[in-house]
Amino acid sequence: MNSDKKMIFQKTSKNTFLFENIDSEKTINEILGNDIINENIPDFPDVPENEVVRHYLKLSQLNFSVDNGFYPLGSCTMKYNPKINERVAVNPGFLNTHPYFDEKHTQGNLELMYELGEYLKDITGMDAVTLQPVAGAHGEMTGLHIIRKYHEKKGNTHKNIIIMPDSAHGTNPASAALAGFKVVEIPSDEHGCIDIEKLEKVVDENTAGFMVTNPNTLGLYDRNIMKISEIFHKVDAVLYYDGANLNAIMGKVKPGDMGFDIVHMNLHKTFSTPHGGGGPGSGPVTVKKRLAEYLPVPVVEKKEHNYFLNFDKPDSIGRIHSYYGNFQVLVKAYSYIRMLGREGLKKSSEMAVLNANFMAARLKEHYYLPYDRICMHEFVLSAKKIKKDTGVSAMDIAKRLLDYGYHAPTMYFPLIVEEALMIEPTETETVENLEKFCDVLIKIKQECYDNHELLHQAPVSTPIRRTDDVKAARQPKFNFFNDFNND
Amino acid sequence: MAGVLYTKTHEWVKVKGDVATIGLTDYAQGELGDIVFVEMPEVGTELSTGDSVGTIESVKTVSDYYSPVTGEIVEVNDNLEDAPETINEDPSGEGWIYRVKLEDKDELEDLMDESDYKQYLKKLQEEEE
Amino acid sequence: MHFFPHLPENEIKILKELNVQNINELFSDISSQNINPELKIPEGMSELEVDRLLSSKALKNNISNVLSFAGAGIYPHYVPSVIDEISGRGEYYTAYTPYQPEVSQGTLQTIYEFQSYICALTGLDVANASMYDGATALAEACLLALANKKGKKIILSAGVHPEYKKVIQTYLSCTDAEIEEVGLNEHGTTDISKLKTILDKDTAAVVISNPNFFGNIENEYNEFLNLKNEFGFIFIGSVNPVAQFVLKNSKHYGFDVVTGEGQPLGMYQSFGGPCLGFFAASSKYARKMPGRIVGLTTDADGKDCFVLTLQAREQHIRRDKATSNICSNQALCASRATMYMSLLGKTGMQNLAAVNLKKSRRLLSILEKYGFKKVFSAEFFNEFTVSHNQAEDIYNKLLQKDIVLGVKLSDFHGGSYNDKLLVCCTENFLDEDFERLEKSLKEVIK
Repeated sequence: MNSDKKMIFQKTSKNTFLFENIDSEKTINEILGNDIINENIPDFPDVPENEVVRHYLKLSQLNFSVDNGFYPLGSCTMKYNPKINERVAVNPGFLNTHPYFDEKHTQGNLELMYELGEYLKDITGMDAVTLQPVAGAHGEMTGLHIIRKYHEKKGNTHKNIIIMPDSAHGTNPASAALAGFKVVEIPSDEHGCIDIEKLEKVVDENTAGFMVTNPNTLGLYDRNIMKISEIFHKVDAVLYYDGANLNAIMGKVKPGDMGFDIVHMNLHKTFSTPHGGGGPGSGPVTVKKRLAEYLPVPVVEKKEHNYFLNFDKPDSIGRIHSYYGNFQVLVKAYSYIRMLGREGLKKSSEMAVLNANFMAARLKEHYYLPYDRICMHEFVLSAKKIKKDTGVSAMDIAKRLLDYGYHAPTMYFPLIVEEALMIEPTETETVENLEKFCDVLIKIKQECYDNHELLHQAPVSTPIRRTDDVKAARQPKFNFFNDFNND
Repeated sequence: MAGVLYTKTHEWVKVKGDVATIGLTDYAQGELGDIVFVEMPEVGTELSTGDSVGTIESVKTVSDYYSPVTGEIVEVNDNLEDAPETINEDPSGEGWIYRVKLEDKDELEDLMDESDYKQYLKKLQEEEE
Repeated sequence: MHFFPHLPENEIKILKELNVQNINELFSDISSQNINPELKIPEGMSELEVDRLLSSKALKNNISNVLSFAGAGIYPHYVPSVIDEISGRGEYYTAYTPYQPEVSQGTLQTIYEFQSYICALTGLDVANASMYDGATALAEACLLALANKKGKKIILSAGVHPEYKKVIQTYLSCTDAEIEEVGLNEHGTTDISKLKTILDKDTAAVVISNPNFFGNIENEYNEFLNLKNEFGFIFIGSVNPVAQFVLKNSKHYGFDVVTGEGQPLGMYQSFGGPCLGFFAASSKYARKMPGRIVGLTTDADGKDCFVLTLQAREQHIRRDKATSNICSNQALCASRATMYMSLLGKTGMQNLAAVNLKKSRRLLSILEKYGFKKVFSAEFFNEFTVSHNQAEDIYNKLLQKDIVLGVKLSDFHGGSYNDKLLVCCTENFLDEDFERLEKSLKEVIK
């Protein structure tokens, strides 16, 4: 490694952090005998506490985060994470509860989970809920298993196809495949919405379900959604709503009213729980009444003033997590919902949509907006023309944004837009921030024409420059103890 | 049969006696980008036409590659394990992937010759625009 | 209280710029019968009110005086103060997945270090950036076996955590896998002679837990290794990460994949979530593994740096042919585990293991004094099974004194386990805790 002492494993030991001052090896030998002991763990230092602090603090400073600045990552809803959520979630009264405690020691937890479930049902217009899935993709998988069980119970095992638009997020087909379904993608029409004609040709008695998000991954609301749901319900297919874009519609419309039967939510998107660098998240699923019996066990129920975990669900799809979901994340979402209340949630969606339209209107003169109509909480620009004229790609533009102190938008998604840049401002940004970001994007566009080489070299002012991804994949190094054998 | 033959899935086939050497065309390697890994089949595997032989991985994608013939694999290009980029550098020479002992030489008639393949590529490029 | 900063004049200005009269026009694609529905959610509150409300909920749990010896997958270890402090930095917890490596080196290097620690303790070559929990990690290991072996049989030891078995069943329910279970012998470990009778060329994987659910150490590693070499199945171990600093690992057992629950590495119990699944495998499965992987590479200036790699296997590229659908994982928890292992080091982890061994034996001797018997003859790490003909009664009476004497095995395995409890003890118990337990046992057992 060409920077000295950069890895935690290369620091010096202190030999002071002990739980008890005993001879560890001797104790282990005496208790278990030689035959059991593991001798082949490589050495790694016990780093002094202040060095641990410095190492990880310095590393954290290399990160860009929502707390640093604007993070318009489309489809990820990088809204501000309120600190009150963090405070309430670390109450020892929550943290020190074991999942197998008797009911008398879990009433607070169960009450919180029950109420949260009621709120999520209300927002989505559904009848039953599970808080067990711990990520959006996990919620998707759960929903798809429910669809499978529903058809199995009706004796319709020939229904094995899930239809989705070609603009679907990658987890959708992956989850469908994981649940044993075949995936059929249908194209979007010129308005960026589901092509109803093509859809009607594809839906038949083998269709098990439809997976979609509304607004879709282009940030566009499909006004034909009621008609679409009729087409599917006619063949008893189940409609699944991917809630990644829920931030556009809280309190404005309920997926249940659009005709959906199953919804998953991403608490770490819409409900402000932090992203954590890639988790922990939470992906609760709500369903219509006729699917409630298939939800994972256990469900949180209430009898008079007592809350309990109900394991008695003979038709449940089973378990998808060892316990009850990411409880600590649920606490944060609960806190957020109580703070905003019904009017606050509605206004959050309104402001998210307002901000996106504001930016789209300013930017469409300078970038190509393939679907030039009112958008919802996010919109997709295309750098197609810029690429043609100057050779600068969406990737180059995204990297240049890093130089200006912004996190790049989502690139190259959805796949149906060439050189896509998906921007989702969220409701927590000030007008000044939005205006500044637009100005920077416009400036960068000018740079593409005036000085395209600068774009190809970007970023130049970040802690590191562009990475050699080919080398990383060709000569994989993912384990210090193999990669640094000779150090 | 003389000359190199081609498939619609962009594999090339060179026959010598009853052994066919198979690789990816220049067009395919261009589409894939920098190749980082080639999943190789095992010697002795029986293949039928159209079977997926393995996958080829670049940074941005993973694609299956398919067998244009039926037969038994008699040799694989071990160099590709350490140097998968050989397919990018010399797709029709050093970048060969595997060799099959042909079971039915008549199958070769279903494949395209060089001029047909060039036409096919031209049509694909026109469709893209 | 809300978090959208626009003043009414900002709103008006923007609407004007958009040439729109009011906000509802932006939602005009929603049908009039569905728009602006009534929500039953209560009205919003101030931060002060929410703080009070959540405190009162936590108080309803009534655990301030609880002394718990419950384990069974989630353990009451001590969490060093440094971890909350550093993982609580906004740069760590408000960042997202490191899609732009140039501005994510903090997360990426931390995860690379996490992967390395997991490889060190499991004895395998490659580990991913984490999975949801020990159960789903194990389920995904079974899926890997099915995808890479011709056989369809998955053999689970009866020692695997019962909830993990349920998760495996759900995950495998839409494959053509056949799940078979092999029971335990009289010592409380996997019955190897029975295992031999059901092993065949059709076996894709064999799964054991070490220590197993009952706390017993599966010490017949030579036997397992021989069977693995003979039958060629994928051998999967579900392990306790702290115990791995004492027990033999994949090098002796021949595990191809090792998964487990990383909660003991610096995470609170938190009612079972968030957890930390870890997943390690031998290098031949590096491209077949689920989950994100961070790799070391160089940047355009030749500087060493980290990046998400082997992404071509993942959902956003491979879509329906992906190795898994996992997107978000448990990254922040993995960061905590990394900090924990850095603080302790190998010697600290061994010390932690030694203290766990010692204190759990102190607990056992106290229980034996009061008529409890250790059920299995196998050795244990920090958790064991005891029986008492009044087990249920004693458990309930202790509960009234806010002492949780482990978990009742009858809750998992039915009536024949009515007299058995699974108890654990960690470094986090001091003299005063043992004294309190003894005093209460004296009061409760006449």
